[in-house]
Amino acid sequence: MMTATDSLLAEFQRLEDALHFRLELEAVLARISTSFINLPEDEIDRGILRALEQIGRFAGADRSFLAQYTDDGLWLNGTHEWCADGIPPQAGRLQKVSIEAYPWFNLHILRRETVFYVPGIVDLPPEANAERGEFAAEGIRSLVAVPMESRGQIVGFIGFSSHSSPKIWPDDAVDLLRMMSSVFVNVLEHQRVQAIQTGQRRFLELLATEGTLSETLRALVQIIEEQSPGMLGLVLLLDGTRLHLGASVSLPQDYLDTIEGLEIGPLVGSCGTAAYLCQPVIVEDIAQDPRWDGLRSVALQYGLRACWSEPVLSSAGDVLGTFAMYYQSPRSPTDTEQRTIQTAAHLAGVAIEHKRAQEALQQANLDLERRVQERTRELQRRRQVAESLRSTIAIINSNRSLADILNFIVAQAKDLLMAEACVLHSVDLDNDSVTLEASCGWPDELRQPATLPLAAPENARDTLLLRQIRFGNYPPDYADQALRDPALDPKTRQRKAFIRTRYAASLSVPLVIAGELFGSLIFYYTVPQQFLDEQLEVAATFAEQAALAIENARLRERVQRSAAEAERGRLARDLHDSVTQTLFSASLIAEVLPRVWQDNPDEGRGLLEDVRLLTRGALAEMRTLLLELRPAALLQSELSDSLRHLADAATARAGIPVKLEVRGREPLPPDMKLALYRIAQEALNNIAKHADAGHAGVVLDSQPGCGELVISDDGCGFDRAAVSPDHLGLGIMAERAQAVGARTMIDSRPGQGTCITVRWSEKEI
Amino acid sequence: MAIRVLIVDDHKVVRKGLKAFLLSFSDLELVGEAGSGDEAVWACQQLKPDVVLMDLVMPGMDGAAATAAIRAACPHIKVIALTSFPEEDLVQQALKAGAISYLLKNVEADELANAIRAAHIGRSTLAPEAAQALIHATTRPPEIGHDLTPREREVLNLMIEGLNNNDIAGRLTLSDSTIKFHVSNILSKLGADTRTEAVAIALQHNVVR
Repeated sequence: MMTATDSLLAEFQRLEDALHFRLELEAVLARISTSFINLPEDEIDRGILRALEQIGRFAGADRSFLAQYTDDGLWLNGTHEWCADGIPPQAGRLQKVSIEAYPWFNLHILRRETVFYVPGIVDLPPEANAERGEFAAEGIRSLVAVPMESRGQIVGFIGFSSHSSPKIWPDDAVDLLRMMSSVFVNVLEHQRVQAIQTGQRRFLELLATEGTLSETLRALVQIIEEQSPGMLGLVLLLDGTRLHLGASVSLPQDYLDTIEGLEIGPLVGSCGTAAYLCQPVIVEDIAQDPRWDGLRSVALQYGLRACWSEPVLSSAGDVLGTFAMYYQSPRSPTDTEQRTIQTAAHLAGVAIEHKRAQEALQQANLDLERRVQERTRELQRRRQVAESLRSTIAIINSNRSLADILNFIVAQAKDLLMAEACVLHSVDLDNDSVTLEASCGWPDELRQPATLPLAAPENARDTLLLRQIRFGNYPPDYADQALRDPALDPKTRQRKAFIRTRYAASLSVPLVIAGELFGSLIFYYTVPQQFLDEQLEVAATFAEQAALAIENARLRERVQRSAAEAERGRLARDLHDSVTQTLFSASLIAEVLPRVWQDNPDEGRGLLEDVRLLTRGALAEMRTLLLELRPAALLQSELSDSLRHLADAATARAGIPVKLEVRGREPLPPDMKLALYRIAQEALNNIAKHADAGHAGVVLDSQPGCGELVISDDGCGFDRAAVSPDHLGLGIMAERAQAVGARTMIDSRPGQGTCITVRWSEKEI
Repeated sequence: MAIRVLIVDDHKVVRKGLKAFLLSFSDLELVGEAGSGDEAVWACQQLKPDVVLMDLVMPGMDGAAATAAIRAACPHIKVIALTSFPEEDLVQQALKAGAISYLLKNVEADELANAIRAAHIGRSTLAPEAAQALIHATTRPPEIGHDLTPREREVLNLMIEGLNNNDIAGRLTLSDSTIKFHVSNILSKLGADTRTEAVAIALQHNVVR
């Protein structure tokens, strides 16, 4: 009875213990489950470790651990482990262990119907030899392993081992562990989803930032690879019918080099076929699949066995490239993996489109910026041209000489066209020659001789005969060509070769003035030029304005010349007038002389003397008139002779004796002679017209190094303060003297006569 | 009664010849001489001559101005222009000023005497060269730029100085559009297509100054 009762009691106790254990285990598992709720991603691993420890301690296990299969299901990795004090950790042994190593064990797990539960390893069947050896090595006395299942697939297991003594796990405890495993699966799945989300976020950040397309795609591959251990990712981009590398992280560079530029087709590996068919291509075993016939040896050489490729499509459905996953063992994708590859391909498509749009936008921005810059430059250039033209037009109307204007033009043109040198030639087509009129930046040795054969300037024939703009960069043997040119004389050859060695490019523009060729403007550059249309336009515009400037300068010179001629004409007319007056008077007297003589012979004799003086004066005036008409004669004749004519003429006109005295006879320079003659002429005119003098005199004293000219009279004089310099030609006299370095002194007072002194000395000249 | 003659000439030498000439004709009497326009006007008022022999080109008041003044003050005095210049504008100026005759200083003594007598009874004598100049004046085309207004001449002057419309407007304190209007008138009057051409034409034909 006792026995029965005892055994009944023992049974009751056992049941009570088991119930107790189960209740407590339930409480532990409930606590653990709750602890996982809202656990941040980076806390999950620690949470799992804590959970393993809690279950292990509660169940009295020596070690608890979690192991996961790789996505291809071929490898096993221990990922989390807790060990009781004194129990050595074993996780190091459980890294990338092939499932083939322990087929009996893994089959149990993967068949999922079985909870692997070995109360004592001695009970293992004979086919579990490998496992027995391993358990012995780890010191495991008993083990319970519960598979973890996610969406119909075994992804790993949790294990509890005992090392000090065999441990017996009650059946319902094992059931609870099975529930625990599903908690872990959820947690891990959650972690994985979070990791994917984090990866996508990272990827999207890259997309949004300034990363290039290849940087972004590389990040995508890296993210996907992190989520799919053992996978080697590859993005290829389609360009026409060829695939080019988009991004890869782990594939061998040599393999990538081999498939670079792959032509797509119906049987061109996974990617070439996927891009060609616009369909996903799953090759489970590269070694077997006919689509890899052409590429098989290369792939196998790098240990690549499986390749799944998904076409990357644009939003419009066009193939942009492929996303491929390579594995180093033959296998087909799980559902998760198929979703991953689709997502990856989609993201790659987004990245490609986005980055291409971004790059297009950047390019457009760059283009815009470039165009703005170009436009700005053009505007600046135009402003510069306008300013330059403005100053050119301003100088057209300045009183500068033609030579000054030409120099101004070449300096402006050189700066405007950023040339190193600018030369302006005038052309003489009758003599087949050109003459250097102006230059800027032109080497001294090239300035002489100024007159050259027509063929000497660069592109002379085209510019000067055809009136065309010519420009170009000099070919390497251009200087030698000049040396061999049969059309040139030896000197011109040397000269041209020198220029072509010194400069690298030139631009020649004809200068056409009022339909007539004036010459050419040539710009020389030491570095090769692009010769943009804009540059040529500026050159042409400038040449037109330069032509106008030249035309105006010539016109002005003509006007000045005609003004000088007019001045000479006025002088000649004055003289002519003067001679006419004298002759008119003489002839009137001569006409009436016979009648007067009849009435009064004394008066007649007086008139006869008048006629003699008048005709003599007229003769002198005729001589001075001749001098005016031939200015060269004035310069050639002695100043004393010219002054004698002036004095005689004045004698006749003023009707008073004008005495000439010549002291020194030192020869004078032509411009000095001319100035002194003009001053004497003006002064004697004043005497004849205004002085009402009784006597007048001219003294010329020309000594070596100095001298003076004095014209004086005893007439009415004038008040210097009341007479403006313009009056009586006094201002002009002073200017004339100053121009040749002499000084004028005018001494006059009313009623006291006038004395004009011109003095010069070498020191002052 | 002899015809009373005043001679006006800035050349002493001419006055000397004319004095000798008048001395030899009994019906002509020298009443005085003047060396300038001002002197001539004064002398006419003092001496009341019948006829004045008037040189035209003289410093100070010229012959034409003196003639006008004499004719205004003493309308009965006849003025004969006697000059060495046959230029058209001088002839016109002198006749407009009221000279009855125009003679050149190549005239013979008898001709000059006859002209004085004719003038005295109100008859004109014209030297052939002067007559020719008058005929030419009526048949000649007008000068380029003759129709420019004073304001247009002013604007043209500034164009020649190289000023742009804006600067000209500032200088003349006129609006830009007014200057634009003047410039376009100037171009059309000078027959020019561009400013530069207008400036060139103006300089070539002495249109201004």
